[in-house]
Amino acid sequence: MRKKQWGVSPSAPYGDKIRKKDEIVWGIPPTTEDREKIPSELRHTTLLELLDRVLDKGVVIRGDITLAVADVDLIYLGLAVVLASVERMKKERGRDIELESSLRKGIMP
Amino acid sequence: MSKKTGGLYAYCIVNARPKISQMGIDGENKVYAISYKDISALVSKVALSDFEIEEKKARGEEGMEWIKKMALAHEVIVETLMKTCQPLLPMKFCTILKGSKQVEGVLKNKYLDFKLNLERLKGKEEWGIKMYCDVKKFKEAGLPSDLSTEASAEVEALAKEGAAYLLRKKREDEATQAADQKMMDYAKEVHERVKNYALRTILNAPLPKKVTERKEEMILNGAYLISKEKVPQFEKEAEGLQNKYGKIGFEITCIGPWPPYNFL
Repeated sequence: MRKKQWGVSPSAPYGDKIRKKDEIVWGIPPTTEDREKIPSELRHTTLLELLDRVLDKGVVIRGDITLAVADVDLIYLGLAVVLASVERMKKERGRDIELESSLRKGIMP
Repeated sequence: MSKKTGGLYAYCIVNARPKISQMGIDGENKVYAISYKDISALVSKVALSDFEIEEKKARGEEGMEWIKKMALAHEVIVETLMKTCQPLLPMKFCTILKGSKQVEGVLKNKYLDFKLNLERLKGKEEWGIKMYCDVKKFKEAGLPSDLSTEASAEVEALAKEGAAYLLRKKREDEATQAADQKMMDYAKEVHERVKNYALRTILNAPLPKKVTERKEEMILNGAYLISKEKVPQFEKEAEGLQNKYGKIGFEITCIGPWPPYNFL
């Protein structure tokens, strides 16, 4: 079975570094037909515009039933965006959590 | 030796028995439903290691790249799910629950909340209107010329260079203020017109240029909850406004349907 690769339009600001895993782009629908279903704005919107929605809003689940960051808190620092989630979580939960230690390990492409 | 810590990445809440066929965010495990009564959470298995990032890296360029990939993947999945599941309550990015027991617990504890929201959003869509202004073009096209001619006359009449400079600055500031005000008047008008078709509206802070990576200034960032049947009229109104004001330096984008992030 041949797995198709989903390519993002080179003009999309975020498009060029999608991680690949066994030829299926990570989390992205692999077929061309599926790709057509993606609203065109997503292809051209800057990723930071997603701050307006998915990164900032949505149903929030808190508490020790969650494993990872439920509150990705993004702060503008000049032109850089800083991830302040760990500090925030510590404050809110008042204790060290498993996530904190796993955040210290280095992985990611 | 230790088993890889896994969890359930949650995408959204929908009515039970949804028709879905969707790959999850890790590209390996499919999205499936966990139900309680007549509602479901759509989740997929993930390994926590996929979400680990060194804290130092998280604060820099790599952190941004990571978020770009993940948030985009998440958004694409939710929007694809939205095609077959309506209404849908989108989760905030990176909500990972420990297991199915925890998911069921959430559904049970928040049942009324979720159910109510789902009912309120049935047959409705969220659309976004963003309005940009090419400030230079706008000033050239729209600003009354009397301010500038008045300025040059006064400048010529003055002997002292210093006073002339101050006066010119004052006139420029006034002109800028007038232009800003006028820009906002246009934005206000667009909002007032399109909001006629909406059941609810939210005005969000316009995004700065460093975020949009555009040279134009964003002057309106509205979210509108619209009955599905009214969407074509809403779109037509937005298009009409774009045609009308495009010539004097504005751009109106009308995008949707979005998962209803702004109306939860």
